[in-house]
Amino acid sequence: MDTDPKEFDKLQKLLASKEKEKPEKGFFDQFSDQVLTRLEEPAPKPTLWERLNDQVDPLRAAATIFAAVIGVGALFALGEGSNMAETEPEPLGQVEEKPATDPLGQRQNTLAGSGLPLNKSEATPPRIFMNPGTGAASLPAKVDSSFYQNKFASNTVHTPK
Amino acid sequence: MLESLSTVSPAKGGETMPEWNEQEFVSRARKGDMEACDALVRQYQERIYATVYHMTSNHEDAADLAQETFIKAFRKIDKFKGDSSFFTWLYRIAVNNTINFIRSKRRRVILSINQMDEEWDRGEELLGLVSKDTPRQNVDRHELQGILNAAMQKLSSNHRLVVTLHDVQGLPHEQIGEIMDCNTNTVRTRLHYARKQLQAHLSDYLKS
Repeated sequence: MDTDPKEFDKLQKLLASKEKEKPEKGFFDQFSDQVLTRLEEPAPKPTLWERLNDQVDPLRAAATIFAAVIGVGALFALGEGSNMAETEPEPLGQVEEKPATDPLGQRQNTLAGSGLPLNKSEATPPRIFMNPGTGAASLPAKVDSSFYQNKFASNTVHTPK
Repeated sequence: MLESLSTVSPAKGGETMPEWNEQEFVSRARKGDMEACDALVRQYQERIYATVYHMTSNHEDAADLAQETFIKAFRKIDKFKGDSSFFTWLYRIAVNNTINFIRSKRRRVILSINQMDEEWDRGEELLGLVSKDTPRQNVDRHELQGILNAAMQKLSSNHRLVVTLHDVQGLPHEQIGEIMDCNTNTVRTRLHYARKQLQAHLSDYLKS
């Protein structure tokens, strides 16, 4: 929308004319006294928000809140990550599926109609040792103390008895 | 009494004119000197009132908010660090106070418009600005004031503020930027959009 310079000029003059809108005569003679009277009255108790606003720098508060949110987020992510690592994963294609109801006359784990047990080899998921070697603590080697005493025996000359 | 506080400086033509010494009054007001507070109120009351009035278009609200501005300023004068002039700081309090007030009563705007200054009260001059093709040719001066104020109320508070400070009160962009805590480019942009919107609202009356 292009502005018509004449319209713009009129608008400027209209706005400038607003400065001539004045309150009734004598208004400003009383104004200062009214302010000072109100100023001498006890100040209303500041609300919690006002007190916080006065004492806390909003920029610092925002930075602290941001840091706290990031910190909590990082902790949560770490917790979730370690949970995922500790859970044994279901092998592909071997997700346990249970039928909603047993088929008529067919108990579970039996061959249909025969009643013979079904040789269902349940696949066991591979175990993942997160910390290989845990529980197999190494024992200190038992060494005869004479071993150390005779360590220079090779340098001695053995005379036949 | 107040003259004794001000610095007397020689004015042009050899006359002596009392010079307004804001810092001295501010430091005395800080110590609780009521006379200094009175001097500061008298110095700035008209401009503060006018800003609030043009923002609210309501005399009663403006009077109340202007008083609150000074009271808040004197109660928190210890926090005035002198980074800007006391006047700019006062303006900032007035503006924030008014914007909060406007937000709190957004849906119930009641116009209570002041009369034009008697010395300037020349309706014809004002009406001469209105197009002859207005929807109602017999629009009177008071009605035109109402139309203009209603159009101002349609602007957002930030747009209304820049128009008030620049086009009505004649403050420079830099000072408006200080008051609104933004740079001068933002002030210019807001002013541009505010005027465009006002022109659109008043187009029927402004057509040449």
